[in-house]
Amino acid sequence: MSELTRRIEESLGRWGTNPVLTELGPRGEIVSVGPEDLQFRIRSMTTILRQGGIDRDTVVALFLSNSIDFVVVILALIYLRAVPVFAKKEYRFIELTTIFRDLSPGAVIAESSFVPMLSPFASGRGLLVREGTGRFTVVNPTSSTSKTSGISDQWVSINCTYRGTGTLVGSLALEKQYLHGAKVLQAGLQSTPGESLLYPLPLSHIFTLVGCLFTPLLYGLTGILATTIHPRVILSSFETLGVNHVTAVPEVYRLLLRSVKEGQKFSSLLTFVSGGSRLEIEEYDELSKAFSVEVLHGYGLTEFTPIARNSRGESRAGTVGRVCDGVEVKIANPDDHGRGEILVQSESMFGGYYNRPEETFLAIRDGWFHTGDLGHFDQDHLVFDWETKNTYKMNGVIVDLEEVRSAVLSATVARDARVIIEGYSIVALLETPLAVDIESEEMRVQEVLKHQIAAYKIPRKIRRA
Amino acid sequence: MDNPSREKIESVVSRISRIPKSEFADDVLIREELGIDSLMAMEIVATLEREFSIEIDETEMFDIQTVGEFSQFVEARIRKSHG
Repeated sequence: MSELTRRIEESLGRWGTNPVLTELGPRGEIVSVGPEDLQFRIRSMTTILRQGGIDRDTVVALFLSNSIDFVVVILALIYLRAVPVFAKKEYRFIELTTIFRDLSPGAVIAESSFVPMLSPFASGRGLLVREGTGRFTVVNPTSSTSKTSGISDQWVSINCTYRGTGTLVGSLALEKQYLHGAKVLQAGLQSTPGESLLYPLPLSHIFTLVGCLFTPLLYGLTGILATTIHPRVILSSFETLGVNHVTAVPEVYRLLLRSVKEGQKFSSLLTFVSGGSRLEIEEYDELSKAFSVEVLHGYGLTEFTPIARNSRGESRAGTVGRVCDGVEVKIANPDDHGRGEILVQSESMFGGYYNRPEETFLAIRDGWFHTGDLGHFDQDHLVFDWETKNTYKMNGVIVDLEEVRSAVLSATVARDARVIIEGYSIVALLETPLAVDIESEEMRVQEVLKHQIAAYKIPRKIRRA
Repeated sequence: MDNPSREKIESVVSRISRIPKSEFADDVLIREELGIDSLMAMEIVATLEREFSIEIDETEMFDIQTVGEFSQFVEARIRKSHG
């Protein structure tokens, strides 16, 4: 048994009467599981996975929606020491090609609605499908030759991310990354067993896995997994479920802020944990005031979760807090304002990019991980300024602008293209002869890209350069 | 346009998405062509709920693809709520 699963077992063994997990549905409906029920469901899932040929050393790509079932699958895979790959259901041909070529999963577990999209890639691999009823069916058993050799006991998962180079990479998340991340997040949150933490975030993000799944599991909080971001449903759940903590991205908090009624009270709320993108000082103040909470904004990457975070009692607007214990940060080549690239070093960092030694070599130089993000220190608090790598954070999700450019170029008659951000939108600028009708070309390229890349990456506008 | 509800719905969508109303033809795809993601969609839904004093069930919107289908769906909600 790994240290992570041993700690989960210990925590569930002393849980008490509160639910371990509650699923908040789109109409506000609630499903909860206690510790014994969760353990039973994990055991049942390991049996199903084994029947499907999934066991130790199987790399398994997951295309699942947020649900208690998804949590059960994750935990069962970790118990078996299989290695989940967290993918997004929004991915299309280009991302899927990279995942199945570079990460080479031996098996796939997917919602039934996503299976047609996966069919060309799933051939020859194990396939388990989650039906609309929540029942899992083994469609293709995983063959023993689909096991991956060379998997370390330290690997827990492979998490998809981007470095601005145009290609999706799989970040190897190690056990110590999960354990350390949960420990430092709990140190900042200072929660007590029996409290609850609501999260309207996809489980496929490492921030969600560490901060919302494993931190509550290891420290005795009820995790409330929201399958909706409908503000009416979430705001109403704060009172009906007695929510104490919320973890979300700034974009979700903005949505809640615009939906809260003046004078509306939330008696149980204590903190709003935030990360994934910038939170402006004014928003920090507005959130604190409207919800009477302490806002704990932080900073992390798929490779380090987290790097810095504000702690209860000492959070400061505009910063991402103190650097976490066990993590070292230095600012490379600072300018006159002390601003430079954030470099990170930690014992609990990722284990490299899976099957991508060149990207790993380029990311870690002289023992320091180069984040591609610009920042500075304000006294002892770190401040994130902006990204210098060719990426853009959209609702807490990384968009690699080089990947979008390559996709646009593969779909257009243009000789070259640039992809930029205007306001909050992705825009492609094409170098095309004047004879080309740019409006027709825009429609044609967008139509092609629907099948090539995730919808949220498709340029909203395509113009002549 | 002589449908006041439709005009108000499109104003809300335009204000939140920052897309001119002139782009809202009935057959325009909401996600792919207008680039409206789930967060923006929820903000539109929450705003329409407040402006029209209605409740919109997210699960009823799963199959909606186009601007025309969305407007018809909201108009039906308004009629149902206000007789």
